[in-house]
Order: sequence, then structure tokens, then C-alpha cells
Amino acid sequence: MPESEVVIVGVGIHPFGRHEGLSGLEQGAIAAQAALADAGCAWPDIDVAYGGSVASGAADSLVSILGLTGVPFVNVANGCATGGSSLMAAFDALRSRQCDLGLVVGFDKHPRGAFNADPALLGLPDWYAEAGMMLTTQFFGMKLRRYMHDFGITEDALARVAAKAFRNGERNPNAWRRKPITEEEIRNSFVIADPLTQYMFCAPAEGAVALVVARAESAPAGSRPVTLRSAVLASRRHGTFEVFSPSLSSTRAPSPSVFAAQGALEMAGVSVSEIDVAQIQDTESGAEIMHMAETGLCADGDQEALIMSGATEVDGSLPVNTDGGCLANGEPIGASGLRQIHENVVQLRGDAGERQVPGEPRVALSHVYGAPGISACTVITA
Amino acid sequence: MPDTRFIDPSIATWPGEAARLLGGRCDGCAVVTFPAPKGCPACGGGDVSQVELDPVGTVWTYTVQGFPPPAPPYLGPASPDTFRPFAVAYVDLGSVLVEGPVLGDPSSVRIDDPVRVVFPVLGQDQDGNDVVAFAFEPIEEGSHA
Ligand SMILES: [Zn+2]
Repeated sequence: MPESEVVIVGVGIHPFGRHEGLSGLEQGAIAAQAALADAGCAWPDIDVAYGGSVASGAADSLVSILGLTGVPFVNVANGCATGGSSLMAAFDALRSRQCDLGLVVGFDKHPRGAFNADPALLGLPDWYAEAGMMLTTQFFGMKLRRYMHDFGITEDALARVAAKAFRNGERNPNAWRRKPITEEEIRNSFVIADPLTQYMFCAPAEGAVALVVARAESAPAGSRPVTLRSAVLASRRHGTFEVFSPSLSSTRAPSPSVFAAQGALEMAGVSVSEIDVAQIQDTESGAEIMHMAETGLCADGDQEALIMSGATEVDGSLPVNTDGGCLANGEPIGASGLRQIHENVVQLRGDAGERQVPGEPRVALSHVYGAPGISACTVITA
Repeated sequence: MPDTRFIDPSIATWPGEAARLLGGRCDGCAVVTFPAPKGCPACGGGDVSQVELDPVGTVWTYTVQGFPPPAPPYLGPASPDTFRPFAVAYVDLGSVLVEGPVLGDPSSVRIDDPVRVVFPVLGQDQDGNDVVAFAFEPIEEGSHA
């Protein structure tokens, strides 16, 4: 029997930001119920579920809110790729015809301030933190500084990327940061890790996203499916430049993002020139710039002209992070990757309102990247 | 009585004028890693030999740490009164790129700057001991490495 086509038939989101008095799990339940309503089905119709959070407990506890239907519910824990890994698992279960209708959910609620890391849990020596090097922000600053040196990216482009994020956030009712910030304010804000300033970094946050996925033959009547063409995960190889590395190899290797994006495009059978809209990991401004090239959307160094000419804006030739990305939404880790897919579905349906990419976009790429060197990419088509 | 100790004796030959950082070289594929790994990250080989790293190299990339790192665990000056932004770099020592703080004015650090490894006092531990760590120091034009 041939593989089944897999479609996304419902999307739901609990707004990102800060929500006093609402747990991560409760936000997950709200997103799940919204996705079920959008798909035109009910929780008892779901015959497989995958979900995860990094800081807000076991996703399968959602059954106590959604209903005890006996559904097989798998908890997924894969750092920044938790959402992508959940979707990949559901994708495989559906296309191999093990199930008809699946729920994928991710949520999180992180404390304020930067993510703090314990060296022992990551296999690192104590001296690394004692000497003041166990800070993710240093990694972002250093990877970016070398990239700017090698490929002629300017600090003006870094500020432009952040300003775009907040402008797009202003037009996204589910975003956290919805006030435009000028490039001058962004450049002049506190320098966290040169060349990156405070407004060029995303912050830990709260939020939840859920998707209802189906075999094409099982899509609920009246739902508005988009096709899930691929979901691909890659981890780092020797020679990549990753966070929390006391040393780097003297020979460089391509980032896991390169392999995840190539794999996702190949599996989808689309070429990068066909991508109409892309959501890519923008933990900070420079990450969006570097990931544009790592995902193959442009060549190394071409970002400067693309960004400064407006190509990556919502109405440009290569719209990137149309919902404001991590910069405007914050990063609830378990939900962040699914937020990208939510936005791509909304864009392909033509439902994005003020931030709608013009010209009926048909092919969308999403890309997450995170510690300690993992990337997940998906392609969906209208 | 308070003493002076090295932050981790397994990563350098400190004390001494000619102290060196210690890495590990894979017996199979010759890839060098710092600190010495239990197994080779390049080929998965289990036989890694200790190797002294070159004390001189060039800045491969850098950033400036703009806020005090969380203390503890950070042992350096971390109060609003004592903290000063400092540069952190990956330094190309030929066989491997090593991450470490760079002494001096952080705004003057640039890619390709020549630097050498040094062993300054980082701060004090809970028992009042001076803790020595490694760092990189710019090599001035015309001076001898
Ligand atoms: Zn080896």
C-alpha cells in the first residue's frame, strides 16, 4: 500500500507572552481545543497524540483536561526541536497508515531572565562556568562576529532584522511584543554580547501551539487542509560551531541546519526557489541572517542586500518571520517550532490579515535550530 | 590560611613560567580537543593522548560580555561596582580553537589579533583562596611572543 499523504487540518495557538495565573499545561489545552475546533473535529476523534514542553511538565497530562479517551499520547523531549520532533513522529504515524487523525501540541512557561544552564547536566567541567563562559549569549555574539567578518554583514542589517520583527509583531494579535522599535533604539540598547544588543535578542516566554494532522483521506469534512510534505531532523557533526564549546575543531563543517533544510526540501520535492514564505530560527538578529544562508534561501553574504532592500519584509520577494519570529514572540521552547508551522498554515490559507504575504503563497519552509546543535525543518504546501 | 590554586589542574601545567594548556589528541585521527576528551568527538575513537597546546595564536572570533555572569558559579568580579565588560574569544592555536577571556580593553579586540595564553588570578573561592584561571593576552606590535 502506498504511503498516505498527510495534511494539517487544524491549528490553534494560545498567545505568546506573559500570562499570570495560567500554567503552561493550561495554555496547551487552550491551544489544543482551538486546533480541534479549527479542524471541525472533537478530542475523542483523535487516535494519536504527540507533545512536549521543556519546563512545564508532561504533555500527556493534557488528557486530564481534554478528556480520558484512552488515546496513545507520547511525550517528546528534544530541546528546541521538541515541536519539530513531535510533528515528525505524527507525520510518520499517519503516512504509514497507523492512524487517521493526530494531535501535535507544544507549550511552555519559562521563568523571566536568561536560560541558566548547569554545566554538569551538559557534560561540561565546572571551571567553564566559574570562568564566566557558560552563557549562550557569548556563543551567539561570537558565531555572528565571525560570519560578519567573513561575509560583509553590517550592524545596520542586525538592527533592520529586529525592527522588522517588531513591525510584524505589531500586526500579529498573538505576538508578545507588538510595539515597533526604531533601528536607532535597537542599536543603542544595552550591549549584551557585542555586536548584539538587548533588542536583538529574544527572551524566554510563555505560549502554546497545537496542530491537528490527518491522512488526506481522513480530513474532517469542511476543514481547510494544507499538505505536510516533509519533516526532517538533523544533529551536529564534528566541526560545527555550537553553544557551550570550550574548544572548536580547526576544520569547519556545515551546521545541522544545512542538512535538515536540504533533507526537508528533497523529501518535499521542491526547490528552494519555490519557497514563498519562510519562518526561521531568530534567537537573535544574526541567527535569522545566518540561517537564511544555512537553509539555502540565499548565498552567504547576499543577506545584506536582501535585508536592506526590504526583500525579507512581508511584502518582499522572500518574506521571513512574518509573525515577528522569536524576537517578537519570545521563546517558549516547547511551542516555538510549532508557532512557525502555525504561521505558515495561516499564510497559505490567506488568513494572516494585516501581515498576509501577497500573491497567494503556496510553498512554506520552517526551520528551528537549538542547543546542543539540532535542527528541524518542514515544508508545507497549499 | 588562604592559598592560591588553579581552577582545574587537569587543563594546564600551571604553575610555572612556561605553563601550557593541556588538550587531548586522538591516537586514531589526530584531531585535538580542549579539554582532553574521554573519547574522540571526530571519529569516536577511545584512545586520546594528552598534548600541550601552543601558547600563542590569533583571535578567530570574539564578543564582549556586557553583563556580569551569574555568580556563583562565576568567580570573577560580578557586583555592579566591580564588574567590567570583558572580551571572550576563540583563539586559533593551530591544532584547535580554544575559548577564553581576553585581557585588556575589550573594545580593542579584533579578528586575527595575535595573543598568548596567560594565567591570571580570576577571583576568590568560598574559602578565600585566590583562584587562577587561563586567559589570553594581546601581544603588542614589536614585542616577542
Ligand atoms: Zn579521532
